[in-house]
Amino acid sequence: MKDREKGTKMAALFSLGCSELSDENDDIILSFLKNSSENEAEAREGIIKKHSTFFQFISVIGKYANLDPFHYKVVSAYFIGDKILENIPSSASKELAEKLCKKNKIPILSNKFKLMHNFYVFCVSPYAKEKQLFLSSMDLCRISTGRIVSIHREESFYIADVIYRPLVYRAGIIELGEEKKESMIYEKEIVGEVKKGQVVAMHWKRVLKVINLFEEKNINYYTKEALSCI
Amino acid sequence: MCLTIPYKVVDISDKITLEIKGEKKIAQGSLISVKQGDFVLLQNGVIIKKISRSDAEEITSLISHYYKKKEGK
Repeated sequence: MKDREKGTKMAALFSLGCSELSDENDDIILSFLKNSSENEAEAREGIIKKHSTFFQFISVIGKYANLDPFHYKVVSAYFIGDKILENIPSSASKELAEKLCKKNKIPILSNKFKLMHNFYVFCVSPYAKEKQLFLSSMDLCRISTGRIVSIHREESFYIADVIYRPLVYRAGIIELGEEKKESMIYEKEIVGEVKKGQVVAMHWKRVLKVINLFEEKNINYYTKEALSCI
Repeated sequence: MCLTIPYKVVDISDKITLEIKGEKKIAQGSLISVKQGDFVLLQNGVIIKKISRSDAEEITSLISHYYKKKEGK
């Protein structure tokens, strides 16, 4: 699979979380994920229309990495984290952060802002305005990691029980809490085969991807960095 | 922006029926057990989380505010 197609697939998959605010683009994105790469360009267009903020992030990452915004490395850097984020001038990250803070009426909290999804969720998304209030939504919206402990089938879908660390609010600070078991949606058709013991990336109670140690470290590193900014 | 509309569980007798602003919807499944009157979040038709009434109101207000702004209203 070419890098751009792989990046589009990842963008489509990680965008699924918003699909309850459904629009005509959902069907295009889902069909692209489930079927072939025939409607790749159409899917990209759908993602851009549906998730304009995400597109702003990958455009800046792509610009400084000299890559197409939908290149797999760029999309992966946004959702999972990667050292290419460290090459983006802080002025460029700050410019985008300030734009979103202004739009969502949030005071700028940190100069350490990175163009990774969890920074967006904790620092500049509409949730960031009232973090304690929207703690559980932020926990669903961030990209988290967890280890699969069991998989079972419900009527029309699979459930993966995963051990992960939820966000907690303690003494005025938001941090990762103790490990707990949670049930997640697992769509075999989209994600492929996953096994007990594997570490996965999750978004909106959905297993998205089996991740390797490097990716797990990146998600956790950028999550902690983002939490330290708020 | 990752936003999911909160629904109210209005019937669990056969399938789980949900409602938002008078519009009814059948849940495709649930990760949790729910009862009539609960407020829940969905993921592609599957109930993923129970939330309080006040959280449901806050999220609904956030969504309507966000989309009004997006549409330039």
